[in-house]
Amino acid sequence: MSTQARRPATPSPDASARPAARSASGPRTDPPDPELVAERIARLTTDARVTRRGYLRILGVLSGGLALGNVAVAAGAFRRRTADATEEVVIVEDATAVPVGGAVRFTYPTERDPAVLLRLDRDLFVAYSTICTHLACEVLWRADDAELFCPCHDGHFSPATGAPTAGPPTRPLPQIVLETRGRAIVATGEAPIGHDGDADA
Amino acid sequence: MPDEPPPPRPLPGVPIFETEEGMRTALVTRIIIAVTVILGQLWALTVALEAYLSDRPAEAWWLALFSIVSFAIVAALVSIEPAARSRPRMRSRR
Repeated sequence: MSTQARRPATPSPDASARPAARSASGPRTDPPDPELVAERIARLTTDARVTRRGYLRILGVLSGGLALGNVAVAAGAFRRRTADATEEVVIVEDATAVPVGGAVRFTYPTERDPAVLLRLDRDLFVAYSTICTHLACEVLWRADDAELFCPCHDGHFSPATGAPTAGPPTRPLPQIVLETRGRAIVATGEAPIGHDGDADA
Repeated sequence: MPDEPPPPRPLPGVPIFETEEGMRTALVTRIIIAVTVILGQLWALTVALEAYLSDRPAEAWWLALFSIVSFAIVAALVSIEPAARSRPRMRSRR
């Protein structure tokens, strides 16, 4: 089949002489020109012809883009914005106000980054980002079961280490580094991704 | 009306003439190979992202290398054009 056979017919002089009628935004009063309608339908239904070599070139560009993206991932172009956090945020002024097994929600390092402080024992405090490592839902603290729980896809995390214990998540929750200053507990940064879950008192 | 003469039989060592169907098949084959390689690249990208987020940068770099090699294969498939060996047209006798 030749290319010409699938292309719409050349617009007639009548069709080219009606640009004003095409661009008019008001209601149309005159009936549409059947030849113009047929031309528009032909233009909409005619596929652009792409040759097999054209497809192959498109695949080449796609492959290059994927390789570039893969290098960018390995080079760390998509770092979490919280990874370099160095801000200091006072979570609680008085640590004794948090009961054992209790939790305090806060944000770190910005207002858009939810986190939770847990008191696991009398002198044991840990804090994690509560953005689920599966699909970024907010993780909740369930005191009854003593676990961090993501309600979106039933993900469970260990409160001691932040590691996933059940459900679809495969990566631990980012741990927030804590310091005790007097009676206050201060968040001072984020632990590296592969943290071993050491709790900071 | 006389029949068209049969195509000449190739001599030993002489490449046979490639038909248009054969060239088309070779092109489609290259496309299929390229698509397969690109599927591998997509897999590598997802695994590399998971490896990076899990703090395994070495694994991510190996996968990036895999993706670059895959791209080289696809680029070769795109750029290497087999020599045209289509049958020469018979000249019409006047």
